[in-house]
Amino acid sequence: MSATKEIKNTGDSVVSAPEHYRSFRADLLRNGDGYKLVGELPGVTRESLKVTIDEDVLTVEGSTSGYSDELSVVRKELPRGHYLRQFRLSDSIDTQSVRARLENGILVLDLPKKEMFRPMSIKIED
Amino acid sequence: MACQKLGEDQLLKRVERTKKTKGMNMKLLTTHRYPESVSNRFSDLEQEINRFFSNPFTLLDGAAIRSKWNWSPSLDVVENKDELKVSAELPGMSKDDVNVTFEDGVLELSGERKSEHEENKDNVHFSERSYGTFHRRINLPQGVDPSKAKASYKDGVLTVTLPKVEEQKPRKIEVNVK
Repeated sequence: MSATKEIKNTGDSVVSAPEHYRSFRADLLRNGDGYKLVGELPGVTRESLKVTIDEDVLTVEGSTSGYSDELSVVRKELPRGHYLRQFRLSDSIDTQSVRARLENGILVLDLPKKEMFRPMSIKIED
Repeated sequence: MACQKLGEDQLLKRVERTKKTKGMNMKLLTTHRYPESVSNRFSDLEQEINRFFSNPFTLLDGAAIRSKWNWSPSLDVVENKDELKVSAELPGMSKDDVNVTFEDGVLELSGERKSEHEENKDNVHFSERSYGTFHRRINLPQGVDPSKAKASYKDGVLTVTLPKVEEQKPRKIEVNVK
């Protein structure tokens, strides 16, 4: 059973997203205590980044700054504009203790598991 | 209906055999689900194609042979009358991991992103980020001065700014007519 399932941006998203929203690359890692979501959001400023959790839906959105008008574009590959991606969190995650940090365009979300879902070893009785 | 595990050659043989007998059977066989081994191969191929196209390396960049480097960062090139700016998406790098070099009018970005996952500790659910060595070459237009280039790294974007050289003023050549 996968811990987080992705909600497509356009189909059944909780937030209605305009067409120019783009997804971003992410890695999802898991260890005994919880999950770590590492997203690539280059060019996104701390001010524009919004991470919200509504029941079991995690939403990450952010914007990059565009280029000023005086600059003419020679080659354009970077998806300037807005990033938006949503994930469905499993019940094992303690949504109250989710932590987020942004550094060098990388967003790291710590999603700890609730105590009862963490691995525990059972002692064998005599 | 259970899916029989047939080898590809066996499937072909069955098709041939039924061709000889009844035309009706032939139709039934071809609409049968492919055996698992064959459909796996198709989906592997599809995944490989998707991966190939999702990796941005451009025709401009003749040297970006995918087999040599693992991935290529996306970049923008913008300019105004004073300078040319190349911005590359390189989130999560430190300055030591990126090299910016110039040679013969070509700007080259290279480096390595090391994986932060510890193989034993972390269980990877999905991994979309690119890891390993990267490389990208950009042909610079005439009129930029690489010796005065500046590189900065902010919010995971590496920006290389190249000032443009003063354009040579057109010289009038006097023609002496004797």
